[in-house]
Amino acid sequence: MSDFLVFENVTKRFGDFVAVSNASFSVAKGEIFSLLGPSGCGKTTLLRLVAGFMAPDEGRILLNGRDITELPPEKRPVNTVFQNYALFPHLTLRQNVAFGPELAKKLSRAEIDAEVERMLDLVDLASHADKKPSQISGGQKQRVAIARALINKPEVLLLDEPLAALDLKLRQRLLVELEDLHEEVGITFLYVTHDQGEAMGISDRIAVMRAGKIEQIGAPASIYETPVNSFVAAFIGDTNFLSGIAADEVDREHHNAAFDDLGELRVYKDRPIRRGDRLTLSLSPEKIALSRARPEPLAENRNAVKGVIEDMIYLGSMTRFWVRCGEQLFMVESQHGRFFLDDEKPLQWGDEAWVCWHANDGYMLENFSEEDRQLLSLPDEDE
Amino acid sequence: MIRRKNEAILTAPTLLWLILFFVVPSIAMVVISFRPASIYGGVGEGWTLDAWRALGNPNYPIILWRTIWLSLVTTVICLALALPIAFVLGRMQGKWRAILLMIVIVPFWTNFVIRVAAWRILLHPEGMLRQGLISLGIISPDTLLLYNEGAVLMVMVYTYLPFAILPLYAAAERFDYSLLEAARDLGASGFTAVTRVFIPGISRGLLTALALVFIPALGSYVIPDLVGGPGDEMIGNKIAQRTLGDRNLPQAATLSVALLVITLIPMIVVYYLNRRERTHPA
Repeated sequence: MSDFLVFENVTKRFGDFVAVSNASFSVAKGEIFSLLGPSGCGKTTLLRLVAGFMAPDEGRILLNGRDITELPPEKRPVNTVFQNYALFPHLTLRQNVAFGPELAKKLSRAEIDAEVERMLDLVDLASHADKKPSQISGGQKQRVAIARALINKPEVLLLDEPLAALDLKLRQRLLVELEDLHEEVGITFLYVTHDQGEAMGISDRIAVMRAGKIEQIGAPASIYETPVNSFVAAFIGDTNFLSGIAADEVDREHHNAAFDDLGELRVYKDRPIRRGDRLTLSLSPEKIALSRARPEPLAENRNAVKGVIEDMIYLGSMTRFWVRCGEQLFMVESQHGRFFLDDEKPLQWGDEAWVCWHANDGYMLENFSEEDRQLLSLPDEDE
Repeated sequence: MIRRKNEAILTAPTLLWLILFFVVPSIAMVVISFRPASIYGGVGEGWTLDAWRALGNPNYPIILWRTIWLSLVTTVICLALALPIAFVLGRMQGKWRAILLMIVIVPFWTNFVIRVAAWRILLHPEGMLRQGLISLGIISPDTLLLYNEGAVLMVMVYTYLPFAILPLYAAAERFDYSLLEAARDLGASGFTAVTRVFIPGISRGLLTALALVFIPALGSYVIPDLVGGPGDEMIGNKIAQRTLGDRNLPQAATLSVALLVITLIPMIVVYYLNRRERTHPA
């Protein structure tokens, strides 16, 4: 059941460039599985390997126990929703959706017509059935593309950045529609995207990719809360990296550690550490509290460091602060209270502020690489 | 109103050109076809249907039919050859595309008559090609490569092929090849994807290529004259003979009008197909 679509040591090269390197993982039947990563990470290549538009140099792909590695695209029980929609411009929407079943020749004309009508209804486009693709909007095109793929009842629906070309509001709405649709048809979705918000929102599980390799596979929350390395931590959402050296153990769960620029702080032991170990925490900006005064008394296992507000952006539902503590620059996201004009004087540029967090909210990364700091959002340099 | 005026001013030179060099000569031709021929090779006084009656000569329908037939076959072969070439060219990128396009265009740098004459040398009975083929045993010693319908057809295909490739390439270049992947994805074989998606996708270019090959092919006369035999004459040759040899201008004019009418038919078809596509845009 959990091994519906299986990748076995799949490698794909383009000349010297390794697009996918020895990927092995499996997708369960009926789940929405996302491939998430920056452009050029190999996620679209993996999708195209499943569609059959190219063959892997090594390894094989199994679908429902059957080796489909060598099958041409038309023989595979999968269908694709393309990023640019790829609707046939010379056909009406109805003819576009009927394209697959007409070729399959399994149904009679009347059955095909009924099925096309049902699919167009499902994506809410029945009233536009006789228009050409050039006469409808981007969001509508995307829905036709989905209907055109789904009508073939594929075992896996491949979605290649299906919402990337749409504006934010439409993207959010179609994301919800896609999820509803998935519930309705129960088909396995393989979803490729570079947008972590999209992936988090729709996926049962996410595979985060970088440079042809899969870095981590897991449910959205587990990837967000327990990233395996600094790349995943920074790519899945903005975070803060705090580096230090382990000091004395406090109790079975907590340790003290001496942090560069920040002094001795309490950390949660996500894995066994010993005195003298180098460690890096990933601390999400929404888990940090800002205050004018040091919280007194400081609760057990909470940390507080003093800094200066270097930059801030008002984002409506929250405000994002960058707080400088020596070399360390904290990103803090603070939700507004119910009343914007609260009793306390709001924090401003240049104000001193205390950065506080609970030791358990920092996650101790297994692997940290300095270059991943570049993935983090920084305040605008020009200001 | 001003736009209208500007439009009129801008299109006036073209209109004048067309009237002077197309409409007036065409009308003159129709008029001359109803005149008697003068014995000095000019056009006589009065009106007569002599030239039109002469079309009843059993030679003409044969020649007319041969002209249409050879032009049709040329068009079909040119389109069949140009389609795969355009398909590949449209998909290519950068340097190779430029080189291959150059190869298509280079023959235009040489005069058309010289190129046809070159074929005469190539295919000549004493030429290298025929002698080589005979010594290799591919053709029998009594096979001629020149002065027959096959030679006319081959040189016509050679001549008009670029006129088929270029519009098809222009259409293929604008064609979104990812549509072929979409078709394959939906269960079409490679061949079905081409016939059901690529060919409809470049239909405009196909119509242009059709017109650009068929219409000039109908008017060929240098090619059958230089590489054809006496039995391979086309209507163009007859027009030339009547004008230059017999000095019977009304007869030449009658044949020209007949050719013009035949040419107009495919043009009207292409025009209506194009217009239909424009009112139902792809």
